[in-house]
Amino acid sequence: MNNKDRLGEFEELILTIVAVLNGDAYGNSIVTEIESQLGRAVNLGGVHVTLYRLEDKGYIKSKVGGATSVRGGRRKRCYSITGAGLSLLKSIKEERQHLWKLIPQLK
Amino acid sequence: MKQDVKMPRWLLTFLRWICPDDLIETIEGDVVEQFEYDVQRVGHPRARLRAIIHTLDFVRIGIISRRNKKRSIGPMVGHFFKFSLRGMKKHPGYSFINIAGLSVALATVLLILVYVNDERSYDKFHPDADKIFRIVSTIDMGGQVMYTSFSPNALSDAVAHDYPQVEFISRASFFGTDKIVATDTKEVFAVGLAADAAFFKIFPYKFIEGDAGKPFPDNASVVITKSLALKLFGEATNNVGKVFRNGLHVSAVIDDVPDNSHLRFDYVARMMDYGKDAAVWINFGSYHYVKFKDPSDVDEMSRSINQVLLSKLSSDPRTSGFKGELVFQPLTEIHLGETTYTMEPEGKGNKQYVVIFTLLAIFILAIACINFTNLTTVRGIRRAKEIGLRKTIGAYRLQLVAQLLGESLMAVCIAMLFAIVISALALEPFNAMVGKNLSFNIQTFGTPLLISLGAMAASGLLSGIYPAVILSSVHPSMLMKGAHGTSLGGGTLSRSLVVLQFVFSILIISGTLVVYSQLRYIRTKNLGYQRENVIRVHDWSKTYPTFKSELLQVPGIQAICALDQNLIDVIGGGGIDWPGRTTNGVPIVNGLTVDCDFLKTMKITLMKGRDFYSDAELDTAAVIVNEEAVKLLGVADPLGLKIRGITKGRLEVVGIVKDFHFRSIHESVTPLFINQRNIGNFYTNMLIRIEGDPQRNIDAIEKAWKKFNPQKSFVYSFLDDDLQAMYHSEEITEVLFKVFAAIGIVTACLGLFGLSSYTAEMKSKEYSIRKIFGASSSNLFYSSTIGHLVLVLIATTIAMPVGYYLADRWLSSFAYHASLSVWPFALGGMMATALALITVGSQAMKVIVTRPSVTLRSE
Repeated sequence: MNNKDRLGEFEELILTIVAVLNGDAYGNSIVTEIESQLGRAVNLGGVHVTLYRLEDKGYIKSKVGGATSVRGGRRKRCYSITGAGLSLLKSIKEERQHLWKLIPQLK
Repeated sequence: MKQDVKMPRWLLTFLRWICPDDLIETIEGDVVEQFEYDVQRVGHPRARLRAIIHTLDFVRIGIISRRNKKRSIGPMVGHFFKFSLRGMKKHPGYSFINIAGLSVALATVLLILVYVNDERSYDKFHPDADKIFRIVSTIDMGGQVMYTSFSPNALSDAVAHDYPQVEFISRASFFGTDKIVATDTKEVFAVGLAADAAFFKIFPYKFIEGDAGKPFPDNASVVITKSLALKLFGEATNNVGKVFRNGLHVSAVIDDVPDNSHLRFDYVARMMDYGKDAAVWINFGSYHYVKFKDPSDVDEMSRSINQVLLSKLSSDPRTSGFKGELVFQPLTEIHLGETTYTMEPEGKGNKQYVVIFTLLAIFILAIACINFTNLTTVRGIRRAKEIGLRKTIGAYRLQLVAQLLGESLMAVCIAMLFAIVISALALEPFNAMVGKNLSFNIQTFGTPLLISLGAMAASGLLSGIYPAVILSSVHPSMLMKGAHGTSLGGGTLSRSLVVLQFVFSILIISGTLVVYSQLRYIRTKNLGYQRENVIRVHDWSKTYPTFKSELLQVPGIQAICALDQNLIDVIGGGGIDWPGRTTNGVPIVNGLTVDCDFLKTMKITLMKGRDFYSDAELDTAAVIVNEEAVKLLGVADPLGLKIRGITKGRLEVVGIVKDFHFRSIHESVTPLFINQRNIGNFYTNMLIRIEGDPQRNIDAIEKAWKKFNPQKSFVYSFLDDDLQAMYHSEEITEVLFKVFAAIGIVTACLGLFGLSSYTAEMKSKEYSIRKIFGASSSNLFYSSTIGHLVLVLIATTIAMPVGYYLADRWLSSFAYHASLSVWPFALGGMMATALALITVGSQAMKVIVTRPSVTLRSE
């Protein structure tokens, strides 16, 4: 894992949530999911910017989905995790696990 | 209830304004969904507030920067280039004509500008060039005015003493061009100058070695240039103190004199002080350069020094009645000055040619630009449907103009790149042709490149504007229908442009013919002596009489004579007086000193009196004059007339010869007094008339030369080659004219080709229908060519009087010139017409051989 591949905390969160929502991730669903799972309030704008950035990096991909009446007939852009994104998540987890094992208090 | 709780409109507008086009829909969707969700959870007013916060939260660099990235500018530029290139590819012929014509023309213009720029740059490299002047003289010789770049010998002392406004004054005089400089081991040709120490204050050349403040520590000091040092000693440094074979020793080494200096030399030796006899006002013996502290003092100084000159000369009975003046000639105006001064250093420029070349460059550029305009129009019209479609879809007029103009500008840019490459490649041959040493770098090419870039942009815009505006103004339905009638293409404007093009071409062609006829006139004109089979040895042999008699034993050698000056450029002379003189003051005439065989060697006709006796001792007072001199003397029978002047003793006219040319044919023959002397070292060169195989004779002369002059190298040339070299600038003009004429007429014909093929295409249906109705081939040929040929004929009619006038003015700058007939102009017109006929005719032939079914089937 080189430096370029490092994710910020918020980026990692969004990437994980996109993986959790499994194809049904779009702006609002991500905000709601974070709120319901972690009780943390996030801004829509921040989520969007992070999504675009992650997409640029190639960890998630998007598809413009069908319109719903809730949104005034506007379509939504649904995100799903890519192979690269998934393996990045895995490697982050392994890295953490490795470090966890080294914490003496937890032994 | 949903209808009641709506997002404020302005928020959505704001979002649209900041967000990228491709993302706005989903962002808006998310914001709206969030808003609706909030309304249900927290009520309308708070939801509204949250919506505002959410919206403003999108003002992020991560969002806004995406907007510019993918804005339509990218695709538009790409689209423009794609269409331009497609357009070029679709009609490779037109693109080629268009770009090739323009490239060649621009390359030509570039080279000419480089040349003109160089000519105009002479002597401007000196710091304070505006403060430096040369004092030249205008002498009224009783009816005829003589201009000489020499000025009185007494000048330098007088100026140095009495005129504090002059910072420095220096005399300068050439040792004679191409003298040999020798060290113990090497011999090279070098141009030497004699000058005062102040010379290096006026012209501050950089001293690589030696003391700039004291360039001549003693009388045998010599300052040499870096390249002479390299040639002589093989190194540029450590040369101070080295000696020449004649005893001079190097006191300093300076930078080389730039090519664009009117005064070029390889070394400068100290000029000896004048003796009492020489430092007089009537002796116009050397150049004088002055540097003023303040150049505005020149007028006053000039008035004052002329008063001194006149008062000095009129106080002496021998020189009283002198008329003439000294002129302060600005340094930077020497090279291209309009007056031809005698004694001018070699390589003086000719303002007339600079003007002519500039004019030619403008003509060529105009021809190419007109082509460009016409061809762009034609191509634009061929794309009428594309433009119609664009208009229908909703292209703004400005967009269309931008597209068409942009395309023509792009073509110009491509042409410019080619032009730079072409001119860089052509620079070597061009240098050889004009005898310059221009290099391809930013100094020489910078300004011309900027000028041509400017001209290029202007011509691109001008050539593009017409088609762009015309095409974009036509109603799309017209364009779509393909109603591209004559009103669009072969309009009055493009027809008159073709006429203009051919006027220029014909002018250039007839110019070439006129220059050619004048050169042939020069080459064949009877100069008054026989120029063929004469070898000029550029030095004088020791023990000349023995050398001469031994050489005359050689079967091929017919006659030998020695002269004190180069026969083709006699410049020496002085004032003379004689009993019965009626002229105002003493006239100054040219004088030539020869040995007794001069007339015999050169085969000059003696009209009256006798030739020199072969025993010079008995004949020291004899002088032979030419017909012009007889006119000047104004005496019924000048034979036996006693003349004072020229040499110190009294002379007696013993013979009269037919006028012969002893200077450039630009100048009229002036009075000439020939006398003989036998003081050997007075002569500077020898003329030898030979017969039979030249090489064998040269070998014989060289053998004799080596025998008598083992120290000196043998330098010779043929007299007719020297004469040809004298008219070098005329020859350059002729060659350049030929090249220009070819480029001009070919470019014009390329343009005509484009236009006529366009009309042929437009009218292909008309011709096919005519054919079906029984029109004969000749009929069709006539009707498809006559339109264009009429234009060429109109051009001929306009070009002929204009060309005649210009040619007449050019020829009158020669004192002797070929007579001007209408032939060059008729021939120019005929050539242009013939070439146009071939061009247009080839298109007509294509029309004729096409079967009507081919063109008519398509509908």
